[in-house]
Amino acid sequence: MKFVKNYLIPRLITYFLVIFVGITMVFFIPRFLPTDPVQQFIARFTTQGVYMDPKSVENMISTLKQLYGLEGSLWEQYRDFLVRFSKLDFGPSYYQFPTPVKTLIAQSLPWTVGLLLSTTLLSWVIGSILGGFAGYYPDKKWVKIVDLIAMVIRPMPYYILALSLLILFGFIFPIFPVRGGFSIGGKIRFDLYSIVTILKHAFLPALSLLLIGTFVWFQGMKLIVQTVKSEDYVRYAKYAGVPEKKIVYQYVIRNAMLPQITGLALSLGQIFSGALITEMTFSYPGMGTLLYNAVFTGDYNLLMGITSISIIVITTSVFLIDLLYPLLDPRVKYK
Amino acid sequence: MNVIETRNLSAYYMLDIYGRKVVVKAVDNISISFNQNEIYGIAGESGCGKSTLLKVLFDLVEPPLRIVNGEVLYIEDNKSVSIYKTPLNNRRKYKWRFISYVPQGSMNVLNPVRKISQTFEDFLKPNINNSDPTELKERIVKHILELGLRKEVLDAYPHQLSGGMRQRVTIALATILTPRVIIADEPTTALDVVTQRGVIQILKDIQSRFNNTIILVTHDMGVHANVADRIGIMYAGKFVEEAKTAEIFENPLHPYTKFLIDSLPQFGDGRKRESAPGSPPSLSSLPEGCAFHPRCPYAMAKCKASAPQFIEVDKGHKVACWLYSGVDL
Amino acid sequence: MKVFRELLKDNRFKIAFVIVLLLCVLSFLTAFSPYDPSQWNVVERSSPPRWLHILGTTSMGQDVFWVLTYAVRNSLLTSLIAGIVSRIIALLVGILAGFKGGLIDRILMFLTDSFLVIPLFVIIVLFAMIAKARMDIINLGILLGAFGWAWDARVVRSQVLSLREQDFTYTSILSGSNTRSIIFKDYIPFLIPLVFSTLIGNMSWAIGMEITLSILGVFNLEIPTLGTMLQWSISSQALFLGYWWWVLTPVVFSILIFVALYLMSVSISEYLDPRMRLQRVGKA
Repeated sequence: MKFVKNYLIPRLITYFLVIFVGITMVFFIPRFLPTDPVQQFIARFTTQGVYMDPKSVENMISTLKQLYGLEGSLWEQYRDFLVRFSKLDFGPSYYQFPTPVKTLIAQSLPWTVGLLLSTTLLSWVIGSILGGFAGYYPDKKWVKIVDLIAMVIRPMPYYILALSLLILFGFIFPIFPVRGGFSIGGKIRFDLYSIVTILKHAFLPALSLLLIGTFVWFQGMKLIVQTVKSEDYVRYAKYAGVPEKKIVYQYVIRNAMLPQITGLALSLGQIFSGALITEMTFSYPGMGTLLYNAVFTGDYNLLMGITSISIIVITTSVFLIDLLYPLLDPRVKYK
Repeated sequence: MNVIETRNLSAYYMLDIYGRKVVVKAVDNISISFNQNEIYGIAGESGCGKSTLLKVLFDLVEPPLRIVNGEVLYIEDNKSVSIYKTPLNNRRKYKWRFISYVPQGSMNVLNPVRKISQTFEDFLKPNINNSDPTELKERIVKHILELGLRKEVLDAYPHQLSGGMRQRVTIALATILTPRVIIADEPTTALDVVTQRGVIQILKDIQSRFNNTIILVTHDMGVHANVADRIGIMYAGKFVEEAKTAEIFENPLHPYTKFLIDSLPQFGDGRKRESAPGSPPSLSSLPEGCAFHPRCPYAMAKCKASAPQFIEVDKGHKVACWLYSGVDL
Repeated sequence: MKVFRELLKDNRFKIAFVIVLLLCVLSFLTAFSPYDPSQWNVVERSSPPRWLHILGTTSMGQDVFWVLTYAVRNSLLTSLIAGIVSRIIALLVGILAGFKGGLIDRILMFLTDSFLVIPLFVIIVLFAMIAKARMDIINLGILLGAFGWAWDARVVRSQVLSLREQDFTYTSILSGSNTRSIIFKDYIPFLIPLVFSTLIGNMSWAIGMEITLSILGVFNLEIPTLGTMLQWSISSQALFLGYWWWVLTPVVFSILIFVALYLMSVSISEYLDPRMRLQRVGKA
């Protein structure tokens, strides 16, 4: 049980600490900013030209403060916030009052996770395989072509790429639906039609995520393989005439995978952000669209909920990858 | 009886640094032969071309290194083969079976994610015809035990072994097919003194057990004194002296060899140790004539003009120096 | 200067340098702008590119070219501020953690790892949405800088760790130099190249963030940046109305910036990595 004591428990503690730090940030940011959400909310009304007498303004402030958990001392608020967080209770949403934030997130999360999980894994696998070969045979013609494409696509922010795809396939070649996750008003059933419709709607958002993801992993893997290729153990195996196939898989790729897995864990947060933007662009019914609506309507509770849930989802995924890592690298097993 | 010979062998690194052509003469017109059943030590300062010579002997010539002239002969069962004139697919069969290679002790030569037994299988399988798994396993275990290692190391990963143990495993890996020639490039560098002894001992044992040839490169003259039967001294891509070990230490001829030996500490001698003045020349811009003349206390006009031949001045004692050419000792 | 001349031998760096030069020229042109970018209806509306308005005009009656000059200037400025702020934090955290070690290192690295793992984007959105009224290019730069340092702090730390193992550090410590002089005299020269190569990557991240935040509507839309330009064109339905010049201008120029910064960072990091350099020499 050395594994539990020396590997699992320290990581479990870190896992909870990271969530704690993230949640604490989410709690303190709005409270330390010079503009508070209640004032902002009131200001929205006044700029819209709604007249309110001082009494009703005061009533509204106290209602909002209660709604947002802004009553009492900072310490009380913090304690209250942590208790509510542990129950995943973020209060009612303003944008779809009085639906609880929890319910809205529960509706959106599966779409995002589904889109994200499949594209992340797929692009990681494709990118790593292509990058592996490209790093091992850097002088092949296709490698140079893929390299060039990667050089242009890789640095683009998700939004620009998603927008380009939207223009290309939505307006110039209208093949795929550009909005939504399912046909409007349709009911999702477990049949072929539903699945095809879901896939069709997911195609463009998925493609944009796949494109960027694949090239990011491609470049990462290519660089790592070039380094591993000149490691002594690879050269020595070559001297001894170990077959090339074995060298590529068991010596080069096998070792290059390790930093690539760490890279996957560390980049999940970024990928998640990217997915949110993609969803906004294609109005995909996931967390990104929800976030957009939250920002658009000034729905403070919803925003807090999305932020907190994102932190949990990402840290949990990173934690899971971290737990799988010792299966692949014998060196970390008992450290 | 020779097992390996080189004839007028030259191998240069051809570099192109931002449009400037640079030729590094790492191995320069070397003709030398290695006998069966001996440990041949090659000594010299770093950057004298000894590692490059090993690469060329082992047929590991990759750009920017290029064979410019001469040949390398592998001699087996009285037949000699010029390895660089042999087609690539026929060269393969000499590696590990005829000639194998032990790299530097500090190197990270074992795949960190593979068990030692798996690495052994990887190295053994492509070099033998029979690949019956149990037979393979038996052969590996037998070899490991013969070299005085414990069977358990096969189940370990490289990071679980100490540096000295890893080097012994590497030697076992290099000798699994009982090659006729073992090339060892600084096998004890970066190991502590106690571990060095063990590694040297294992090499000696292997040699006396299999009666094969070990070509041992190290800059450590102490190691040479302990294990080598013959010693060759390299300077600036050439051999400058070669003799039996005792002869070299008792009667060094070349001024450079004298410096190398004088720099060794000796019991009961309190004198300050002298090393050769100056530093080795850059192999990309060698001085005219004898490459050692700028550092040589006996340099003559002749030395600056032309390079001396590598000639036998006594039985088995060769030297390349104008001080001895044509002079009877 | 010698470094710069060496870098210019790399074609990728050459291309990047030309693009950056062009963008800088554009930024300086703002000084001669005939129109105030915050004013509407200064020129005719929705005109396609022609001689007087080489990149056309918007449906709010603004000249796309002159808005672009301001947008490029502001976006570059924001990213530069973000880059400098995050460099300072990364250097402080990295040097402190690497040099002090022990508990301080553990705490700082835990914080750094938290920043790496937590989806900062949503937190930045939260931050920006609440502080929206006070958002200008300087505040946005500082905000992005305050969140974008974690990865580079790790890089700096590992560099400091390897420097600390080197003999000259021991010599300095044994000869009685104090911490500050060791860090400033011995370490900073080694860290400067690292600061530059990571600065570029960080700037490109900051521009991407700026665009995203603008699209999301949590940045002040009165300030012309590449992001707000794009946001105005999209929200004015320029795509559907066929005003391609209005959409394409910010898109093309952001891609140009990203490609240039990327090429530059690749070229510089290859230049700094001796192993990659050697490979290049060997291949030639």
